[in-house]
Amino acid sequence: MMAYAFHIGIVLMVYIILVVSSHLLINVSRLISLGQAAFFGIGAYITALVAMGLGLSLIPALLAVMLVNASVAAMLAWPVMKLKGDYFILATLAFQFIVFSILYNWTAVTGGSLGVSGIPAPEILPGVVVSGLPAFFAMTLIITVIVAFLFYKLQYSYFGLLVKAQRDSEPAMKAAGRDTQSTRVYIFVISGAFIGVASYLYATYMSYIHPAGFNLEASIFILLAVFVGGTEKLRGAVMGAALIVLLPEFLRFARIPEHMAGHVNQIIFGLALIVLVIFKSKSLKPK
Amino acid sequence: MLWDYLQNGLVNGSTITIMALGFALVYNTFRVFHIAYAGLFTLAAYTFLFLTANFHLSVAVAMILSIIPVALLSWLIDFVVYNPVSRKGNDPNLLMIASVGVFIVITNLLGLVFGNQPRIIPESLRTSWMDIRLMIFFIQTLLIIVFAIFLKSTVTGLMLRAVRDEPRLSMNLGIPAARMRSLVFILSGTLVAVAGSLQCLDVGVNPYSGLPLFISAFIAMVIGGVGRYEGAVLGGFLLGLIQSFTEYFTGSQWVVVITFVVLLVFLFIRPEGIIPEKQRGV
Repeated sequence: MMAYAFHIGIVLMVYIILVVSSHLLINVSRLISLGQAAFFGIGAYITALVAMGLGLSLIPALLAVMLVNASVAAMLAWPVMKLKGDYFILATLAFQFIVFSILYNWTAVTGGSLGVSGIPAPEILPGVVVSGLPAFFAMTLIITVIVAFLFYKLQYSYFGLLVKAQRDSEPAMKAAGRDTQSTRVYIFVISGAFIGVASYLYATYMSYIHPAGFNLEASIFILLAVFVGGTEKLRGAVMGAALIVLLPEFLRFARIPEHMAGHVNQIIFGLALIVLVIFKSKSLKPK
Repeated sequence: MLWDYLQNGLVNGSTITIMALGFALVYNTFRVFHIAYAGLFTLAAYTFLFLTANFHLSVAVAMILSIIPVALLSWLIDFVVYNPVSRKGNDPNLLMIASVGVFIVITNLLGLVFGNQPRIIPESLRTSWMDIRLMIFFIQTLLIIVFAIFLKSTVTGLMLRAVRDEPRLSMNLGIPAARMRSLVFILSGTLVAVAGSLQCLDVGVNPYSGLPLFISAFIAMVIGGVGRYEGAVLGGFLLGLIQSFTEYFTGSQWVVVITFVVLLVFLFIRPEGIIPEKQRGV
């Protein structure tokens, strides 16, 4: 039972990092990205590479993953951020499909449909391995708190203010001499980089990764978790993550047959989204 | 060999075109990013499967009957979700989120009822006096032509285009806006019902089979030119052929990648599409 609680806790925190990293991009600046799971996937495969191939310990590995994710995000962001509205969504969707396809089909490098197994547990210092659920839980908790704190600070910093201001009136910000394009690129890069943290935790915890974990559905679920929170507040997004992770567990306890549980779970999410948009759209409206 | 792929490309192109037209009808007129449309496609395919496998109806009857629930649901989605949300003057992105919700509900309900395994219709129905894929191509091309004539040459078609171009002005001129709105969703449901049924006849169906085609259809609309129905037709057939030849040259696993690379190339180099929307004079 304790093991189960630790497991749920770790998965929940991975999701919290995913959602918190996407919050500034999706909820605050209203750039709806359907490619968040692609970054999650790239980070996970890079984790496998640096942890297995190079044998890096926790901090260098995390930095390497974040750096790769940030560079991919930067390369994608320069052209994509010029696109508006639906076209931005479409371009991120394209990115999602291309990354998934490469992870799935480039068998020589990614292992294709077999996935990658045997990813070692993180080493905090060379020789000091995080072993056992409680230790991993503690490490994840510390990292999650740090990430959430950073994003909280960022949202209420000067930069966060810029983001909100240009969402509300881009012409005004341009008139004030701000480079709105760069601000958007920064948000995108920061989001991609911190998703890498979630990837690292996920890959080293599971020790096995498969492309199916990083498909469009995963992207949609990240988007939903961010949206279900429903406000600009960071804690709303965290609650969204909790809902996404805990609802399937509740359904399991409600004794819904295994083969139906997945569908019932998703139907509830779908309905929640529709109801949320119809009845609570005021809180989602840009002010 | 190459001929087979050309034929394949044309058949897929006609399916993508029908989907793109139905989607463009909604998207051009109301700017609703109608992802639930992919769910309607799957619903049509399952309705067709249900009618042929359980009631042993003929292909033609089953196809026509499957239009009814799909067109009805299409209208209902607008009535319950899109119309109320858009009337409050919300961010259009919100409509897309709601549409994702509807899509998830439809897909998973179908999965609950019919199971996740791919299903095909009984083999006895697949025999006909002509090649089935050729028949699909002809039916869909005919439908495209009928749709074009409807839009260009009938009063109702003219009204639809008027609502698309000048929503407020056309209301002032006495075009019944609410009725036009219903008509758009029913027509779009009809188009997708035909595409879904025929796709089921051809290759069968699973709960997730709508999404890849929907994405192809949207991409076809973008590369053809948003705002113009000719664009959707051109883009649809072009994309069908590109996908088919990609399969011929590189194998089927890279079709998705090439499709999206084509999309990205268009987004960055020619975002207005092959046939750009007419700029109205001031």
